[in-house]
Amino acid sequence: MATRSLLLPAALLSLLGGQLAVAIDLTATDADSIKSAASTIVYDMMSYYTGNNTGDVPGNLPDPYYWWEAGGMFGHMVDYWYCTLSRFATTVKLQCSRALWDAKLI
Amino acid sequence: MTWQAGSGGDFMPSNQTKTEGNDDQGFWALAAMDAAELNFANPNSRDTGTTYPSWLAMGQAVFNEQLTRWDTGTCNGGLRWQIFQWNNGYNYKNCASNGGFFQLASRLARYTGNQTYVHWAEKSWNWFADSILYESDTHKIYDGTSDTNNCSDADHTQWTYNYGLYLGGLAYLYNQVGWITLSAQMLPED
Repeated sequence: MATRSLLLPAALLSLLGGQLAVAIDLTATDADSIKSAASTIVYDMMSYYTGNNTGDVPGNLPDPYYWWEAGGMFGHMVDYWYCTLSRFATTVKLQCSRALWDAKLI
Repeated sequence: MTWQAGSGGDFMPSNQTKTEGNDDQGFWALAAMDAAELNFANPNSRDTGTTYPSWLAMGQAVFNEQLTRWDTGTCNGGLRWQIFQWNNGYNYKNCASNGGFFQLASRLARYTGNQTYVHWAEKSWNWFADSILYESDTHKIYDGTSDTNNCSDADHTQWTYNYGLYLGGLAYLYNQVGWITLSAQMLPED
């Protein structure tokens, strides 16, 4: 069920493309490596978000990012949250994160 | 996400609507579907004055609105890129909007089992597959087409998100009637 739930659109390659210019090491068969790489990317992705600052608008990204890109970003944050749920066995989490990684969504 | 869903729970917040496209609204609806499908807790209010729609309700609200925008007046159907006729791009029928609607319908079909969503997923797929936007022998997806010349040619820019929207929508239709036929059209034989 977990992997089928993650049949995600590749809609947001353009969100990340060109914005993350760092190289991230990944060993795709190693759970810890995937978790570490994913958390780095999610942390960096969320660094663009300013909506939780006083006076700012929740849910949007600042210029030059488009409103729809914020929509995609929050969809991915839900997916990432799902992948890290502690009630899942490590093997499920690994499959979950791997699916997102393969789709270049994290 | 709840904030951006706005007072109508349909992702038409007043800060955005002046230039909002069907595709913009669609991406947010798909994020709401992620939350619904993965059982992310529905928004609730700590005060007694506000109730929020569920993630599913948000997805359905967008579907219901976009349904009213299905335009049979030109090009045998499809959604326009822009919602409002005063915006540039109102003449353009594009994959980001139509693919988003297709995937939303597919995901609602899967989640609810309601045949109306299956029907519209198939209808929007058929419109796309029959249009200039999909090249069946090469499986290419082109960005959009204009109703000013009856959708007879396309912008040949290929965006990965357009492929993702349609491929994802097909996957979500797995096990629904017609999935095998639709996927056979989309996926290359090799």
